[in-house]
Amino acid sequence: MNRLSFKLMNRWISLGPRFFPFADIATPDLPLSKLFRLSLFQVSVGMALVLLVGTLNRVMIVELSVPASIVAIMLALPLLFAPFRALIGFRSDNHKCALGWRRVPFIWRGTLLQFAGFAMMPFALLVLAGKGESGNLPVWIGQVSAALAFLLVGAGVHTVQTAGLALATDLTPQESHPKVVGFMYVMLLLGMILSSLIFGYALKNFNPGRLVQVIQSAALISIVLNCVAMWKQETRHPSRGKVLPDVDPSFKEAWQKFCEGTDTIRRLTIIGLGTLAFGMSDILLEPYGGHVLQLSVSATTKLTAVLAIGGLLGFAYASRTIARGASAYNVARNGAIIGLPAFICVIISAPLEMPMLFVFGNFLIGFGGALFAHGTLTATMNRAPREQVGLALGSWGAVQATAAGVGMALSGVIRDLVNSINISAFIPSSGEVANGYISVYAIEVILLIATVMIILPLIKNELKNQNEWNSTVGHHEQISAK
Amino acid sequence: MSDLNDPDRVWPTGLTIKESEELHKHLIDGSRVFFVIAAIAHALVYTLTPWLG
Repeated sequence: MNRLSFKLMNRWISLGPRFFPFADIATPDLPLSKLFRLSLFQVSVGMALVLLVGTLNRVMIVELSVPASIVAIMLALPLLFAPFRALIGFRSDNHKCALGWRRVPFIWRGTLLQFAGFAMMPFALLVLAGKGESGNLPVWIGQVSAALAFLLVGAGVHTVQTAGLALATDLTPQESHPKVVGFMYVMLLLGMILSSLIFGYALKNFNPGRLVQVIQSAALISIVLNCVAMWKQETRHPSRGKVLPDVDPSFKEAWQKFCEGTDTIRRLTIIGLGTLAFGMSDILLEPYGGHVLQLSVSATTKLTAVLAIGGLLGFAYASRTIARGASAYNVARNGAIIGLPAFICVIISAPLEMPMLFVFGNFLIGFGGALFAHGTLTATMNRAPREQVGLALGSWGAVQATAAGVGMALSGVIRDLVNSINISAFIPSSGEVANGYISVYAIEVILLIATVMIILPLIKNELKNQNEWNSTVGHHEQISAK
Repeated sequence: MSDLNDPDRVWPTGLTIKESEELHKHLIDGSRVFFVIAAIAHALVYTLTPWLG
């Protein structure tokens, strides 16, 4: 260690513990204010998602006139990291450090990556679009730097969310998990709504300087939010740092052990299918309203608000019912069942020419999707083995994020494919433009039915276990009464 | 927190030398990442609008 480092280190030591990000004591339950602060990392994740999928998607194509295929590839890059969430979770479960932390180092590193990606992204995008003097340079410079920026943001977002959710699970007892999940989802949704409004307003008069300001502000805001979120949250267990390294399981062993847990694979399948079903319609709802039902731009934007309101109500309802003792699987199943009439409303609104039915369908999609997401995440948290919380939430995130991304990509491809082969020759009464959309919605209905079928055995098992438990307790009570 | 009588702990922070070294390492690593990103960002800006030209 050189002299400067030594001096600096001595300064850290001389500062009071007040200035360190450690939690003083472990409380049995997280107070609401602390939970609120912890959930701020979800706001930064929501902001990053909106910036990537919504704002930059449009800005790159419309304002910077980058070819649509390159934009699609760039926006898909962060998804490449989604499957690694399981690995990130596993690594954080077995993280050894002298300070005895497991999650905070990962949240911190993820935050740095996210910050780094956003900090260089605007310049990379401007070079990609060949602005300024960069038009004279080889094209690959812009492509490589933009790809690097998107990869960094993707890696950062996935790491922050995985470690953050694992930390939330660590800090709360099982009975508070519904509350925690509800909070986390509502904050994600709020982060997305707020930031899309703010980005839209800030980029109204687009110029390259404004783009730099907006994206770099997002970088700064994400680092501030994440630091506030993790400050003094995780309690230290220095003993964890002293465990001998050779007792560490490998990822493969840990994964096998995790899969041996009751219904793990079935649960992950449900999460994948259901998320795919609800996610495929995400980017089609607005163009469906515009193309097929001839709604105006402002009307289709309001649809997003209807969807969000449905989501908020859904999360609130799910938190309440699960906290009062309803089974998380039951709530997830109800969400999938509500999705069925929702998509049918959307489908029949075109031939009946009833936009109101479409709006109502959107509301139901938001509500049902929220119930499903809440139920499956709560079930994942509740059934995570204490020493494998990171792995459990990592695999949840890996399946969920991959399914959402694949759904988004598939929906566009299927719509264009169906529209190009023109099936109206076979089904005469349907409008041509609507066919592509309606086939996607029909696939979603089928996926939802499959999801419900796979959940049912889990609910049956749960009921059976509960009945056995009740009869044993009843039996014991009878004996003690005698 | 493990036992407070640990002679390795240095007060007022209550951190051991090893712990403070680790904290320090995070800070240095963060600064390195920051420096590399700043260098890349400057290179990109230079390709957009070269200065001292």
